Amino acid sequence: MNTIIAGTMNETYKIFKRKKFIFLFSISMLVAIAASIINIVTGNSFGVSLFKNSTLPVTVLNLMSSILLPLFVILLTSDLFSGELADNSIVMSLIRPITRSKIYISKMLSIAISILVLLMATFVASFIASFFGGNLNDIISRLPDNLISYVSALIPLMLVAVITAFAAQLTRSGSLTIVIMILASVLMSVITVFSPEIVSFLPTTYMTWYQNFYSGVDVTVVINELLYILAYGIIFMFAGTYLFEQKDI
Amino acid sequence: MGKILEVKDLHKKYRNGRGIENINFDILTGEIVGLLGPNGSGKTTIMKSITGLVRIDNGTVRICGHDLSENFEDAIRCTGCLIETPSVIGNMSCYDNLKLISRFYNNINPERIDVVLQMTGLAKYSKDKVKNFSLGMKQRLAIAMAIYQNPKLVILDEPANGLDIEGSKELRKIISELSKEFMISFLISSHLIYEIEMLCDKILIIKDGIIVDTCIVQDVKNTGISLEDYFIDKVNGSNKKSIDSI
Repeated sequence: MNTIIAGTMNETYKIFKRKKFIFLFSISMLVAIAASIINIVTGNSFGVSLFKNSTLPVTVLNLMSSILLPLFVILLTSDLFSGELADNSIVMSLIRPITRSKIYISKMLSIAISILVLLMATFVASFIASFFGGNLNDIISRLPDNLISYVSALIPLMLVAVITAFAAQLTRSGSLTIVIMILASVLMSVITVFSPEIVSFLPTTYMTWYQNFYSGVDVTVVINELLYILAYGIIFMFAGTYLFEQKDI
Repeated sequence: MGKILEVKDLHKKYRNGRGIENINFDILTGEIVGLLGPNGSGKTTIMKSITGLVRIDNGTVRICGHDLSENFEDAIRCTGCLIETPSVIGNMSCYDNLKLISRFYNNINPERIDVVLQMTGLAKYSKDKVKNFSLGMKQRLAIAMAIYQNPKLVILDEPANGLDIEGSKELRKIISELSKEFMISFLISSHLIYEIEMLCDKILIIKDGIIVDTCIVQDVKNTGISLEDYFIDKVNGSNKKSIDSI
């Protein structure tokens, strides 16, 4: 357990030191700020805001979770696996008293921490922005819904991370991992067009799982979708860990 | 003297058919063993197999009595290594790189970071980003990281790569001191035969993935044959008579 904690601390420190993380963090903040400015400008110019102020945080989350956040997770994960393999820095961890499976778990935990930090920072920025021109009571009353949506967005994003980590075991190049993930996502979108009946079996369907918490929680749907996410997560986590353990460096 | 490293029937074949087979050797406490062989003979594969970087097909590796495949953490805890290129994180400082690895060794006082930086001549660059370092400086940092945990066995693959004349001399001094004062054992591969000659007690000569000879450096010197000629003879199989007489 101690080695997993040490490994997670190291991996998190490495992520926060990367320029890529700082860049993506800044982009996320900019999206939140831009959405608020657009809201204020449309409110002042036309008398009606483009987005409802009380739902601004979840609107920003919807905007970001469509492309930006999954892309951020894919970049981060491929960097932590294939990227480190390509620049040989992964050896630094592999020759220390920590098993490969624990390194894998540490990396996944550090990705979860980074996503959570990013989500919380975006939430705070969009929440503060929602006060400009909004009804205070309305904003406060929707606070729990908004917050739960942000926290629960971690689950589908972690599924993206787990699948990317698996894909990263098949390559030795960070950019190739990103290409594989983008192609897989495009392929799944195409499949849904031609065979709509298999939509519920595709992991991409559950990327908006957090929206279940926003308007009238249907426990059956929440649990059903969560089980699908967990099933995919467990399969890809085990497969990824196995390939990582067998990999010749 | 006890055995620090025991390698038995080590076998590893890559998909291209190359690799190592039937590798057997031991390293005793405080012993410095050299691994000599032509390019592609399997020196790095042996080192990677001993450190768990590649999965072996067959055989056993025991470090300080711990089986590597059964008890990896305890086996590797007493081992420091530098395999191929230095594995360092470029966008971090020299100190931060060492700080990262220090988290895995609770029994070591983090003040040792300053000690190893001093030993490897990097103390004045401790706050500098590693990406701005020359290959030689990265090599020094990798050596500092290999000896941080007070290991009982240090595995160095071409440690003098990128080091200048002064750096190579300092490295030899560090290795000799660690071996004599702290009884640390070393397994060193190098293509610089004079370096192996000056440092090592014993040499393993490897060719096409097989150990073709094991010799004591002093014994070879005593025969009047240069280590270079001895190595070439063993690798090429010529002049067999004169060598077999040693």
